[in-house]
Amino acid sequence: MNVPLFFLHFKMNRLALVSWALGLLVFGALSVFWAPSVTEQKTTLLPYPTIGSLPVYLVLYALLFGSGCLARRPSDDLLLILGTLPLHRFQIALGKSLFFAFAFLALVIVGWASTILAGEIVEAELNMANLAISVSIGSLLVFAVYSYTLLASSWCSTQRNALALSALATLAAYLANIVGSSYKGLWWLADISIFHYYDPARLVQDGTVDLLGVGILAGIIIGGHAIAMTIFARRDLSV
Amino acid sequence: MFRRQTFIEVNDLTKHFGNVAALEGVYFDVVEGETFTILGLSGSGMTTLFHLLLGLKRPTRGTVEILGFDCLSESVEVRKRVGCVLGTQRFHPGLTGREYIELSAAARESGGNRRLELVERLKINENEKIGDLSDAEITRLAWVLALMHNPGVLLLDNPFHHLDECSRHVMSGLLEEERRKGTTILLATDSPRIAAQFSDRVGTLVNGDLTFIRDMKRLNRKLGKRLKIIFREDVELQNFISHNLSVVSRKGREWVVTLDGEAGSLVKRLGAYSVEDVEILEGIVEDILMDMMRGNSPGPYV
Repeated sequence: MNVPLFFLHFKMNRLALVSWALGLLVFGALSVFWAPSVTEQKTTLLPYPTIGSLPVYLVLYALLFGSGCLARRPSDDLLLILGTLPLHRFQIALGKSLFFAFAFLALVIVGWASTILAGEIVEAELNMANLAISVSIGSLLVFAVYSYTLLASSWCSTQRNALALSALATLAAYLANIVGSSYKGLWWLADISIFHYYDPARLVQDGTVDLLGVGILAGIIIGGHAIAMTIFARRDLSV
Repeated sequence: MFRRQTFIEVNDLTKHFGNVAALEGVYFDVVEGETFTILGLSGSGMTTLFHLLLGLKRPTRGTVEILGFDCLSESVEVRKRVGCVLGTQRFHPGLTGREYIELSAAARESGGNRRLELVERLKINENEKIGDLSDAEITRLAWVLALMHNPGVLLLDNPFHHLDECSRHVMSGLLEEERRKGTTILLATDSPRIAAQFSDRVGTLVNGDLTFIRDMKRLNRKLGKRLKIIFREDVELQNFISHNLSVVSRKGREWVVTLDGEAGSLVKRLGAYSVEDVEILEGIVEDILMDMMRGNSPGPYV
């Protein structure tokens, strides 16, 4: 791991990180004030905040960050500058993913801390173990989205195209889950959506883990990274 | 006989972007310690060539080797040994020069004294954000990044881009130093003046095709020195010309002549006439290079 490269990513993204952290502070607190007992955490549907849906909001961060990882960003030529250094392509890609993991962890901690603090204030009825399970599976969902966004950025030449492609895929998956859950005849739509494998309300209430879902999300993360790095190593750098 | 090693070898290099041919069957080599200049207009394929040399892009056909390493499959080894200035690259405005320098130093495991020397000499304020630096300062920073690890090969794509006259003077000195040190240099520019000033050989790239390659020493020797002589009296042509002196043009008493070799014979001849002024004309090589860059043959000169 190239330490200056990590700090470079950190400095380039610090403003965005602070903004997201502030947003999650509000989100975490609101989710408890909105539904202070576990039994009230009923819905998986956004937009109003629930404790378990906190990582889902970070899907947006995954889309924004991931789309600029391996495609040309409009603001600078970092990819070109990294390309002129004696670094392997996989080191560049892995460095970005490690930074994303760090940033995501930091944001989840902020959101979690805010939830606990707000829970103390309103004396909320929270099961911390279930909450931890919910956040962990939610994190897998976010990483799965990041993974296919990374794949899109390895394939597209510009961040804009990668963002459009992956955002469209995410939106389609999200809507498929809603439609599939609402209409019995279209149940299969929910099954093909990654959002189907993360049910925060159920996880927060009883902590039951769907191992098949975990396997599918993990498979998308590993497969997405592997294909993204293979494409990135073999194609022209988008500079 | 001592034969210098080939440091850069380009064979049948071709790069297509869809139906557009950015480079088509380019061949050239650069030997140890040589400065080879690619002269071309913007959009002629110079930047694509540099991207291929650095392994940033994959050639459609052909091979490139630097120091014996393949630029595609061993590009990391190439980039360890090469310094590059890509004149059009943009740095992130929120970062400082120090951060870029440290990133480069860590990746190359180098830096140290050379870095300090360059930072001081090129007057880089390392702690200033890129967004607060002038274009000239950013280009100077790119030079620090290229030279701080003492590379054996320098790839310079429009390295004087955005430089003011003062910075250009400093960088010219630095480039001359590198040439004297024996660094092998591949320079790309759209300026015939820069090409004439620094090159051992010049090749012109026109629409992705490396058309003419000329040895600058030979070119200069063939072209000789061009002088403008203003006589105070009428002079007969046949009385004036000699084996190393040819007349390019005459307008009354104002003559333009080319001198090949020593100036003694010319001085002797001029002594026989009343002469108002003698002026050494510059830029002949540049004119020819400019013509070559436009795709015209260097013609009878070379």
